[in-house]
Amino acid sequence: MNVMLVSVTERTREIGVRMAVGATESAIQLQFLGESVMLSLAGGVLGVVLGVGASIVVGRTLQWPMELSFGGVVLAALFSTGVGVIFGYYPAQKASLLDPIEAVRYE
Amino acid sequence: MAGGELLRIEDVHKYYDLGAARVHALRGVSLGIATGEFLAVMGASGSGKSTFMNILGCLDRATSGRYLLEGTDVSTLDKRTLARIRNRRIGFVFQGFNLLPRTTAFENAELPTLYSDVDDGERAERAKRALTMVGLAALAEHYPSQMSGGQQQRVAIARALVNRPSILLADEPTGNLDSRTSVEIMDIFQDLNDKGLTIVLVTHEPDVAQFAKRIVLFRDGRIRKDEPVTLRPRASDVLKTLPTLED
Repeated sequence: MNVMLVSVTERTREIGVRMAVGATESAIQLQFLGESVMLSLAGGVLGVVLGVGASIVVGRTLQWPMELSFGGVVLAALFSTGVGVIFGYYPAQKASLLDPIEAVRYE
Repeated sequence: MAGGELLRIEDVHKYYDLGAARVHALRGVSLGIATGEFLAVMGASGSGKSTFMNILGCLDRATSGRYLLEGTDVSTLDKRTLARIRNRRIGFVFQGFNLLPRTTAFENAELPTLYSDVDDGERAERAKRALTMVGLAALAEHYPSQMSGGQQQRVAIARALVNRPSILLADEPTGNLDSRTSVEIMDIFQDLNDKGLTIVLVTHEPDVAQFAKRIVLFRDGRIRKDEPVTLRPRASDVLKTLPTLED
């Protein structure tokens, strides 16, 4: 969540400009929520790839039979999306409530 | 085109409550702006000119009074509708350019269209046309960090023009620029105004204000002076008398 909060603060002017040129509060909210989900999902995908890779390597070296659980992959994807939504909501809300007049002058 | 009334502000007051203190930023301002006008708003800081511009740009609402934009009373509209009006009818140019870094001139220019119902083809078409209007078509793929201040402000003007607004609002657009570049920006404004665009410009520099057609002076939340500019210079003529970077 801190990553997203820092991102909102760093991009205060950008948010102000977007609002001035016509972004609604919900458009701003959606943008930041989307970024948060993308970030978490990327983490989830990376986790799945590393996990599958590691199990193949371990399986080959130790001669263990490996079986990929499709359900596990789906669960990982859902979980990381959920993390993105839950921890992205508050920063996105914060971004959407900025006052465009003050935001464009933010130093 | 010219002559018809574009907007009218009637007896607008604005109060800010800062804790216990109440600031009376606008004390009864009335003003009409016709299509095709080029207005310079002047005044010291604290005179109310910024508050006036924020209300004009639908970024803020008056405490009392009416604001009619193209016949619509916008003083009572909700935030979502105001965002839509800013998107379609108003173009903003800021002092600090406010371009998105790591985003090309082209992508910066098309930013407002992301919030309009426009398809990709039309979006690219509009951004290209807007960049051409400010003479920057060749730099479309450049990033703000690769451009001079004057070029960045031209990209910002292209962004303001991309949805073909009824009015362009510029808040100290030359505040961060040297004098020659300031005149170049005013040359673009005069050119756009000649093509029929209504422009309202806030500035504290008399040299910049003289390029407009009419000057309104704010003091203590009221309009103190409202006069047409006599002997208005052409920015393109002034540019010929100024030294270039090479000199």
